Amino acid sequence: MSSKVCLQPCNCLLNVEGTVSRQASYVVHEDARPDHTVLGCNPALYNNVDEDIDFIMDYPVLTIEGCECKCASKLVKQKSGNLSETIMVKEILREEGVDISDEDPQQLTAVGEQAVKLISDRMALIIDDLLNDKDA
Amino acid sequence: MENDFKVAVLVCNGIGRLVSTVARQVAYKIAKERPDDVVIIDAASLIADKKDQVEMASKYPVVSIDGCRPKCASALLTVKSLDEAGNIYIPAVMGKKKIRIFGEKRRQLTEKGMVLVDAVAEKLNSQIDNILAEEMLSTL
Repeated sequence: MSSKVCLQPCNCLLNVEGTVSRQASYVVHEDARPDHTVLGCNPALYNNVDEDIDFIMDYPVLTIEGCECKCASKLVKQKSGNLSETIMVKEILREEGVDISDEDPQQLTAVGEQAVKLISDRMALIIDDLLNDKDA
Repeated sequence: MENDFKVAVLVCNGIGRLVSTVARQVAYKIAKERPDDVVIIDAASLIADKKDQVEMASKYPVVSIDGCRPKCASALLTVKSLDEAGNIYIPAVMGKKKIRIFGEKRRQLTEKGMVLVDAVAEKLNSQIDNILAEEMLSTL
């Protein structure tokens, strides 16, 4: 059983889904599950920063993808990390009927914050499952 | 007439450190203030070799902005064999201007954090102006 889960958001700068994935990761890491998560950084992982390599090797990884390119998942696989679960932000928001297409990636409004809440709640559930999975 | 020459700005866009949030806000600020002069390169897309981002980073001089010691934006350019026209290291700006952002949150900067954003943007503006001036000079 793992003690922590590595959160690896896509963190895209220009798409609002990247902002939502990043903000949701902050919410989970700082508020919802602070003792049971670490925050993985894609640019640092790409550049083989020790801490970020350790995160994906030592813990199950939950990637949070803003779009179908799945950049975070591809990077974790490329670095031979423990990719365990993936959340697709666009798909979840579509299912839940939340439209963030008019949101500004720099500053979310109430609609964007609603999306952040939905994604962070979903992340917390997956994290709990991963932490309770004896094989994780 | 639209100006075809631009300066590309690549920020580290990390997530773990507060300075990454500063870097991101600098990118958003400069993109809104100087849309005719700059294009923003997204680090995640460049890592993933997205065609439009690679093309822009190859076509235009790139100024990178790094938030912390690994200097991931600068390193990314090296790995992708792209030239770096300039670099700004945010901690150096903090030191030179004596700006402290202790207590700020990664999720949302307050006015205190935005002071550093403005200072980094000021330095970036200066580098962009110099690159644009050199380009104009070269066409005379």
